Amino acid sequence: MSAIATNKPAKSRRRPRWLSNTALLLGIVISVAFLAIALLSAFYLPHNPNVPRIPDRLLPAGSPGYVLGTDVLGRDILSQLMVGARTSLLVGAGGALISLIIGTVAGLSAAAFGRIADETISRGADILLSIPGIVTALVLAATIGSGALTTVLALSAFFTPSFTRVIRSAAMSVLQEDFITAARLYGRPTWFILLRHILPNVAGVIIVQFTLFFAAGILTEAGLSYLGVGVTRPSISWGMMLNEAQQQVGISSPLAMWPGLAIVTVVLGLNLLGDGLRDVLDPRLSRRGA
Amino acid sequence: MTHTTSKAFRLGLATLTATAAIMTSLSGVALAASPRADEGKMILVARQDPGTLDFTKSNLTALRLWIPANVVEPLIYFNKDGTVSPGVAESWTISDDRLTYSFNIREATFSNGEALTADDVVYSLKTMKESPVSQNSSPYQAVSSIEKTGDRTVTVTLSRPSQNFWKGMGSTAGLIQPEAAAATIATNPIGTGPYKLVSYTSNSSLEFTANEHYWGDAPAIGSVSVRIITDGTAGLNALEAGEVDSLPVITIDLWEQLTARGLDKSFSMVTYPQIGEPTFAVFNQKLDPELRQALAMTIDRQAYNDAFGAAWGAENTCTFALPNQAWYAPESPETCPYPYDIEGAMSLVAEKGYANTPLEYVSLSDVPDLSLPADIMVPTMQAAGFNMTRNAIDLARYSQLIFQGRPPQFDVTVMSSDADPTQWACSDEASAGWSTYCSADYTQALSDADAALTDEDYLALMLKSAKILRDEAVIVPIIAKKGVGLFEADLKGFIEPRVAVAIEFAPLHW
Repeated sequence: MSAIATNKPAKSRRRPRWLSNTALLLGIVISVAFLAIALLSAFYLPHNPNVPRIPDRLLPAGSPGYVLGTDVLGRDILSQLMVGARTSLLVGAGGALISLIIGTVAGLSAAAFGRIADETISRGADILLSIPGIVTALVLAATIGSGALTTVLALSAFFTPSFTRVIRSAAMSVLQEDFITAARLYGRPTWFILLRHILPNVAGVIIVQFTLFFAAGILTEAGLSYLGVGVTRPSISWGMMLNEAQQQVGISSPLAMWPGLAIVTVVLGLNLLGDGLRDVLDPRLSRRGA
Repeated sequence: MTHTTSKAFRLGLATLTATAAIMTSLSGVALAASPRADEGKMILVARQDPGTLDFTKSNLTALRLWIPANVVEPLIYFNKDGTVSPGVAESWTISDDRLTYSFNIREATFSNGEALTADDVVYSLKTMKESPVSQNSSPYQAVSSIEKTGDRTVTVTLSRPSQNFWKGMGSTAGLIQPEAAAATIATNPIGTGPYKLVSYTSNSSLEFTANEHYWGDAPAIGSVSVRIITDGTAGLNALEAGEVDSLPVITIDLWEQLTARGLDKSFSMVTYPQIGEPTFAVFNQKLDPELRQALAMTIDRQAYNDAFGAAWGAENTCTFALPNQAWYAPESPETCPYPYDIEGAMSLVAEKGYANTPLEYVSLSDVPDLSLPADIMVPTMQAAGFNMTRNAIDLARYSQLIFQGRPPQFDVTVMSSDADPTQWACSDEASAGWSTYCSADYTQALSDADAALTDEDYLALMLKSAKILRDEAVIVPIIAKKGVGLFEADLKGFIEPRVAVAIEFAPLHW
């Protein structure tokens, strides 16, 4: 009895798949750190990032009181990076979230409400995709002025068509499944099928796309602010810091390095998170991995 | 044997060291000399493309730097020491009442081979009188007639004495061109200057060669290329790499980089006031005068100057002028009615309750040297207690709001422009310029100065007008930026611009 019990194979205790995904773990660590710094900046900053201290201008990293040094007006780099993280979070996530909501509604509608709706929404998305995002941002900046809100609107206009196409494609795929046919035969209305069956099945795609567009939003915001049509002071963004630092590249190169490093790290982290989530959430990839 | 070997080794080492030293010094000489020196050429760098070369219709610095004095000459030249030299006019007479000016036109030939005539001078002066560019037309305000009074004589009659007219004849307002070539002025201006334009390629270069018909001595350098490099750092790199020979105009945003890279030591650096500009705050004239004065007290000129890390290139001043203008005065207790006094400003804010007055500071988001003042001034004004918000906008939108805005769309802004005091003159408040500044006293003082019969009277009245501008605290100067240029060490002979801001090629030589 005892021997039989000993020879019985032990119950398999496999680690959750996400724990063995290094890219996902790294992405989570970077993204959580980014979120933590952005949240912390709302409550604590080493210095006021907008108040100039001319005698302390262009101090190197490690100077007393200034961990990462100061800029051309003696403003603390670390404090500016922290506030920049908050701006990136708000603008990047804001743009991606608005695109997610509009894109999901439009994508599901295109997939489920017949050919006319599909053609209208798809061609509309094509037209919007043919307009360069930078042009949209410049027009918005010229008409309503530059700033965080303008950047969020520009990102939304830029990302929504892409989001729409991705969600439409995913929903179309799900609509071919047998359980959808069964639901239709059961007499379920289209809106019910969309909410009850399609949406949960494309949720993984939505989450993954959100993280990727979040990263793209941070990059785009940095680009727009670098060009002077994005965030402007007293708000602070990493792209704006890069813009200001370019004047000092020949004098104090780290000024441009810090915001550049922050952008690279966070965008890399969000992309790793997105890729990792796709690996975990996509059942086909799960089966292949198993 | 060992001793011999050691001696030979030491000798060899010494020879090697000496050879290396000689080679190093020789290579240094070779590096220092421009490859264009022997060819009688030079390459200069411009930051902006002029777009058009029509100096009668455009006032762009990018045009005024190269065409006047080099290609197209004025009637006369005003020298740095105050003397007047002949230009297109060989000589001149001025009536005692300063109402009649007779210019004797020299026997000369335009660069296209056509003879210079008195008719060309009459045409040129009349064209400038009608010019849409105020710097060209304003010297003619008192002019009642321009007539050919002899084969080589042109007489200008004034309705009242005008200092501006006489000074204008040595500036762009006095440039002389052939009437027959007026149709091609936008791409190929013709004049009697020491150089002629060979080609102008938009956003690329302007090519000049010596004018074989020039009436004076032939210039030392026969071929001049002005290469348009819009990126300032790229221009400095090109100079350092020996690809070009001079950046005669270097803007303030590059000054600290210039010294940090040691370019001021390895090249000849010149500073000169003519191309410089005052940077100044503009307070909305509709604001309470005491509020404006309190705002003026928050301007820390030294902090602003220090922020650029190149105090050698700019002076703190409360006077709207450049150091080459006689009424200019650096910052001092005598010339600054509202010096930096943050505690005084705080007291005024508390006493007058200005904290309840919402104010808007409009700043430029895409022009670094005009964004920087806002970074300093807005926090300082807020610290003084003002209810100040900042609206940072790009240049296109700024132009709509500020230059064309009626009524004024801002309470505080910062600008940088020519040091022409007449731009603030206005006949009535409704026609006030973009600054919204309009003062009858100031306008009258300028008018009186223009009509002054002597230089002493002119200076006294210009000083009076400058004081009015300071006391009103609408146009509040911060610093006067000088012109800064770098030249290849062997390129000698630079002289300060005599015709507005024009960089003269002819005096330069290797």
